[in-house]
Amino acid sequence: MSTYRDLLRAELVAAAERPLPRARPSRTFVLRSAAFAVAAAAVALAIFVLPWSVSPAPQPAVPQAQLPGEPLFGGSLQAGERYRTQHLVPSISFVATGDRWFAQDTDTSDGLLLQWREGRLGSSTGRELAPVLFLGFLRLPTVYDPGTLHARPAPRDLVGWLRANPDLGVTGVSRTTLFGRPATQLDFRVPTHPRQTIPDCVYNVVTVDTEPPRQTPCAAIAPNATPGAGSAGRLLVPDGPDPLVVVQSSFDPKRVGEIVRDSAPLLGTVLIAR
Amino acid sequence: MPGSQPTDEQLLLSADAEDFGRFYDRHIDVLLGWFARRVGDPDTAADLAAETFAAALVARGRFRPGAVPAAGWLYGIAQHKLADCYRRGSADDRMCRRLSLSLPSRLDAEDREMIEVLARDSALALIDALPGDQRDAVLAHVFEDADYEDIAASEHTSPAAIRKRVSRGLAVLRRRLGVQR
Repeated sequence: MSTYRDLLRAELVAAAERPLPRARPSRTFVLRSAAFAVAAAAVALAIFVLPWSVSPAPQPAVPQAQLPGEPLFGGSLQAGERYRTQHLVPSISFVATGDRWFAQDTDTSDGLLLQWREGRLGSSTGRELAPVLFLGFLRLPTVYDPGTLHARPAPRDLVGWLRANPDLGVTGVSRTTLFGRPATQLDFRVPTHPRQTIPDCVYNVVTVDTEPPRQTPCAAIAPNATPGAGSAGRLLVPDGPDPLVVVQSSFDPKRVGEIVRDSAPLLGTVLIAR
Repeated sequence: MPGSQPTDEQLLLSADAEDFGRFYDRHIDVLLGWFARRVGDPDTAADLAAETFAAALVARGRFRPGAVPAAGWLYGIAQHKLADCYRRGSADDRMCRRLSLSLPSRLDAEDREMIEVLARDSALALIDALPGDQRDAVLAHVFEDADYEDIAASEHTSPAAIRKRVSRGLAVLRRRLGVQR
């Protein structure tokens, strides 16, 4: 018998006999979410720069226990199926409006990342569809201290902090609506060579499915906001205290329009627990 | 009931810790082979398998029988872990750390060989079960790295027809891997 198989089995059975430890907020979750990083930056910029003049038409509150949908687990989503998150705070419910949505990091409270997949991953043996476009729902409680990479509570003047951060590349600001509320839209493009990056954090970016993935560093904005160098996208930040911002992003700046277009129907189905 | 075998779903949801071990026994070999074929490295495949089962142990309380077979649910987790590995460049160990699993950082030679064998055997067994034209096309294109044009010439058909056979064969394999018991 295999030593490793036996050892792993014994460890799992022993773990099954113990009470499950409580989940902690995941730091690595953010480090791995390129799209989320941008979202954090956008929040601050929006608050700082933009007026709050649009009259709100808020979405009806839905108690968490009444959110419709199947429990959301990581993996491919079934087109037309409604799902509800189990760990994101606040919980959301949405319909997978397409056949290539893939849910990632569904067991954290700070964010949910959905991938739009196509092509093949670069490995000659790999047959998985490659994530090419990203739709994220994110909270941003902490940021990285410039120069030290230490996480600290988001500053009171978050917008000012973000505006001073050279690793954010906001290229346009406009008004929009999100979840039935007025919101701010921020277009961004992360520098190709961010000044501050996360050590040992790289994204394997698939742009041509017949070529090996290229590796790109992670810009250090916040623990759950580490966009890939050179990535681009759009942030949607609802007015008011709503904690969830939405990011639509791609490693390929030319494809941002696609994720904006393809994610719009899904965003139209989102219900948020209050 | 004496003599009856519990289902995967019963084992997964059982309060008896040993039943999770039985669920593990049913799937570990195929899962190791599944990962090894995709990442090409036994150590990474072992890490991903451990992380997948650890995540399944953590999340099994949320598994609801009916919509998806327990094995399909397990492979949903596995796909997630694999995608994450591709993106990070290495396997995560978050769930293993959460459960305080004590595992070796590297496999010994025997285990590495075992996983490589599992990768070959499970792949070939699945391919052998394909319809003949699809099996031949997949073997030629995927395993022997032959061009569509060359296969078409030897089969006296068009490259488009070969491409379709490969595509259909791989689609069947994906479906079978996703729900295989």
